[in-house]
Amino acid sequence: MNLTIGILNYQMGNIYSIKNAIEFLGFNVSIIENAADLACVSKLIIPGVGAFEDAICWINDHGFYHEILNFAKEGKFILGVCLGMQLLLDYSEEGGYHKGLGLVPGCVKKFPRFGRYPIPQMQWNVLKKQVYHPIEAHVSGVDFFYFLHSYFVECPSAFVLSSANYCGIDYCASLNVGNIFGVQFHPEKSGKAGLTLINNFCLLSNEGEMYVRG
Amino acid sequence: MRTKRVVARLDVKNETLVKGVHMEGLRVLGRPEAFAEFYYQDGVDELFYMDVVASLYGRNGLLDIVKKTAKQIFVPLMVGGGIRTVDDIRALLNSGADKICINTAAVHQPDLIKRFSKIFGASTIAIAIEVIQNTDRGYEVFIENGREHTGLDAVVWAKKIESLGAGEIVLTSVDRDGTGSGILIDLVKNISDAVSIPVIAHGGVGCAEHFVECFEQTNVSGICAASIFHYEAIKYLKSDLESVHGNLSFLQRNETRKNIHATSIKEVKNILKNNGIITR
Repeated sequence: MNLTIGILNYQMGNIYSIKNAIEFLGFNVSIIENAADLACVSKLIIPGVGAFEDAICWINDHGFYHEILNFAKEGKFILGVCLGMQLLLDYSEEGGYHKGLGLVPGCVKKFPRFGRYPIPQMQWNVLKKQVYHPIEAHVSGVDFFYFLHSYFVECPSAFVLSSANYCGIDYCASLNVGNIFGVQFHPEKSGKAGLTLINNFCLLSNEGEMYVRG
Repeated sequence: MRTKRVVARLDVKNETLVKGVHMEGLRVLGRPEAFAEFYYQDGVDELFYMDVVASLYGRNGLLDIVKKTAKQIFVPLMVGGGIRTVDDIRALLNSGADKICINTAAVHQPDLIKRFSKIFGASTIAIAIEVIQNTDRGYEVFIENGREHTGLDAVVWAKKIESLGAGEIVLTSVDRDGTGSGILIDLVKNISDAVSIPVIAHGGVGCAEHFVECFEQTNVSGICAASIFHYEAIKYLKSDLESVHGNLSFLQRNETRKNIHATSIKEVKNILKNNGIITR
């Protein structure tokens, strides 16, 4: 098994925490800044904190759009974290209307005003498991994960691994479509539970279910 | 579901964890990373490193401590103290910080809030408001670690901070800080009612009940404390002393501060849970 995990560095947010977490767990990291770098890894993490539009523009401008889609078509694993997860969807309503990578059907919407709930959600929250997947092995419904976002993902419920509740909505906290994964929370900032999830991702077998969007 | 955050603040001078004490200067407590690790193992929700001399000397000496911390501690890390420029922020984020906290620079140039939020994302930018209560001027904003007054009203400033795109406010009552006499609930209520971004309250925590009081009576998202946690942690970390220099006399005398009831993070969270307040 290739134990090197790629982290896409598109200058949005802090890639060092994810890098530290992966190295702490004993895996190697390759920081991906050129599309050619993708050839050396079989797992890619797309991190990110910040604006959807800036992120997708960087991805398009640096020749990553098709490379990431090809990476997915080859059955290699992708984990989108926070903004990285949102980028996987068809489009986002953040800052207008912006097309995403389209690897997961659905869209990204803003949390509605709800009582005295602050926006962004900047707090720990629990996951309500919907469907089991080995990526969430040893993670229980009493484990808290750290969330930091103003926008949430809407996608078909068949793809939702876990949901969480904020602003009166049970929104998608983690998703899976074939070899594509997304987590709205920051596993690299979620203590031991987060490290468990990252470890699970790093250990996913290479014989993943091939995903080809029809 | 809403949950609350218990945040530990660690004041740092050069490479040492310190605690400011009225009339005594700074007490040395040990290595910041050792305390950070202790709090992480005890379930802290977030860590806040504050460089207490950066503003004075125009220098930010935190990078090494942040790097060391981020290698083994996987909860959110906020850093403040003398942060002024895009390069300052980038250096801290690249060392593993998640959020940076700015006070003085934002007051001098409010547009920096907009600029930094645009470049780094709103949720990366927290603005600190330090408040001194004044019979003439009400709640007034101070900068330079509570030394220089600004004439700004705290609520007006909080609303402006939100409108400029900051992700969070860290609110300190300078009057209560270090006293252990409780959080200034009226101030915290005014600020947390005035904005819809998260607010963390800081200054005056002397016991676990102060956490309960503030979470029950205001809309804050988190409460930050230092002394109650440090004086508990130090019971377990004294052997670390050989690696630090400075005013060690209080440590050697085994003293604490009156009104400060040394409490662990875990204990605070248990008491919160018993009062129906959810934390991780």
